[in-house]
Amino acid sequence: MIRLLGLHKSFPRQTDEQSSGHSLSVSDFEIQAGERVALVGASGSGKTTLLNLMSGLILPDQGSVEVDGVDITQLKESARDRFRARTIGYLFQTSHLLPGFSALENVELGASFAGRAVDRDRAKSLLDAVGLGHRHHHQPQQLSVGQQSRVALARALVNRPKVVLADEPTGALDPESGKAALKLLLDTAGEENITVICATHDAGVASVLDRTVRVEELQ
Amino acid sequence: MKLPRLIARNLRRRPLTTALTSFSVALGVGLFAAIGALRHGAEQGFQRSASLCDMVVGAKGSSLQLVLNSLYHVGTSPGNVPFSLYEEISGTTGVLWSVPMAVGDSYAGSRIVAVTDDLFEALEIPDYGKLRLASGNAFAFSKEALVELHHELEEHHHEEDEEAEEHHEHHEHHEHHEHHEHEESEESGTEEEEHHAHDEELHHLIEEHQGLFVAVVGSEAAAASGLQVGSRFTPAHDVSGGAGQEQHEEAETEVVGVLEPTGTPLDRAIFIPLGAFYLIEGHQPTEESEFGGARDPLGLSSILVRSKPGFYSLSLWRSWNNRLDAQAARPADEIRNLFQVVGNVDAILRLVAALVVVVALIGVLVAIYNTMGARRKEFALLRALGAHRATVLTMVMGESAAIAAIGALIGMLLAGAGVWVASGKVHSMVGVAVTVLPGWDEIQLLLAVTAVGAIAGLVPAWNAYRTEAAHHLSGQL
Repeated sequence: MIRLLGLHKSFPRQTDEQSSGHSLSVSDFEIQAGERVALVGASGSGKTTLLNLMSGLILPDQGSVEVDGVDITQLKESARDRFRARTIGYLFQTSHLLPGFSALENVELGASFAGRAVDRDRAKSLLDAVGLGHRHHHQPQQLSVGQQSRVALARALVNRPKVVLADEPTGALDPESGKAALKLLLDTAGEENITVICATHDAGVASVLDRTVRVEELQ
Repeated sequence: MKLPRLIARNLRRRPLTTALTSFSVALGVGLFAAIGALRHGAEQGFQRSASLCDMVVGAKGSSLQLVLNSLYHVGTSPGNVPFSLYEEISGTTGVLWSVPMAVGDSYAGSRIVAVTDDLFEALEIPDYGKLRLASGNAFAFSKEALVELHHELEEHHHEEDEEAEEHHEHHEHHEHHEHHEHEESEESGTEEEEHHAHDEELHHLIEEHQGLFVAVVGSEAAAASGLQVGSRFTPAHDVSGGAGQEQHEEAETEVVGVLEPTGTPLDRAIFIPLGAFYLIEGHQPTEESEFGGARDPLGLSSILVRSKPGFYSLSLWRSWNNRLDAQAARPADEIRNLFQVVGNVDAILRLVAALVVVVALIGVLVAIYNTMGARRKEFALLRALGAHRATVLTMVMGESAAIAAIGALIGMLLAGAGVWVASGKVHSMVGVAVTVLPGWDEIQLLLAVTAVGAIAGLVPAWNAYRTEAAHHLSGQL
């Protein structure tokens, strides 16, 4: 499903930072369809960078990123955007819901840029599935942090993605809420054969996934 | 979710900013549109009234004053033309119709215009047709009746003049007579008797023509004065409308008809037969009167003329303007010239209003630009969800354009309301109906302001376009 080959990405030193620039190299890394992989490593090891490379939000200096048989480094930016909208679901450490938009509208946003009609019924059923059936029209500020993260989960799944990239998805939640959110993600992923790549510091999260990969070991 | 819905939601998220920036655009656009619409509407209204006739023939002087006084009932008449000119004009080849006019009296602030019944029969108002009565009937007073009465009055006054002259000669002859004092008392007795006789004759004339003391009232004059069919009123001598006006007590007049509204200055006037005007006591010639000149009491204030078009119109206009005792003014030209002068002021006002719009649009730019820092994560999220950079750019430009468009629409409504209020004022001042319907100009203005609004949004939109999603996707929105 995902293959990173001969990948190198370096970041120049920022003018306002004292630190020197850093880089990420991956010689060959492959993830199978439907596999659930935990990316672990120290802070600054490149977990988020790796997710951004897999989503096509940033491009490597060298090497290729193949997702679902497509080398996204060879696509033009607009084609990469469309590919991301159709193929990838994104989960962030914080829910990143848009203020002013209801829970349902925030979920629909996840399928708004794929170039096809938004499936409102799926958006509703996903909200129902994450236990927010009675909160479709609530604004983000009317929801608890846990409820917001469940809305974000529904948004990541609404476009029927083949891959979900999750960056510390339970980082902002208490242990119970985190566990419940992770279970929801993995259950849905299992039902729809979605590949899940999860960057995490949490050994508990990593332990429930199929495979754990240390970023430092990919070089 | 479609882009327009995204834009609408983003505007609703910031209701105060959206309302204030839209309102500032609305003020500028409203001012700009109102000035243009009022000028355009007023010019159209004035031109509509100007087309009631082809020419106004009147005394030498300001041609604009002649037109404004004769057609719009504004200001004073430049003077009188001899009655014979009317007889000449009405018989000239190429003249389709002519309506003689005498002005100078008023009632309850409405001007009294003395005419023949040709006014009701000949006058055609554009997009309206001939004058129609809301109630009652028009009076009948034809050209022939006018000519006959005028000759009768002239004869009467000539006789009076001759007698006065004879009396003067007789007085000179006896000036050196020995019994001077005795004679003088006899003469003054004779003079009084003569005056008395003439007054009696005039009263006899008035009684004979009592049927002429009737009036047809314009719709607005009727509403303002409360006159209706069957009402009686006494005309006041002069048009000042102030207190202490001299009343023509002997000329009590009955209203026989009220006109339907026409949207022209005719609505503000009270029409009486010219014959009645000449019979009113204060309009009688005195010993000092100069017949045939600009102050001829039995002359006319003006003559409205409709001529055959083309050659006839031009040659008649030239020939009447070559006269020493009269001029011919073309209302359409006079009003066009007037609005050319007004147009310069109008252009400056519109420039100021356009600057207000520009400043308001800069305000929109600044308002959106100020939100850019806080919205970077929002743009980054949209990019992570698959939105193109162009989509983000279009969204921000769309927000700016939408604020401008909303402002422009509100501005149009404000302008419409302003013009509606102002048109009432214009109508009450000069009787011209200013009607302004949204047309191509307003649509163009709306499109132009929206386009400029979109361009104003380009600066913050470019900022949004350049947002690197990967750099802004950590932390809270």
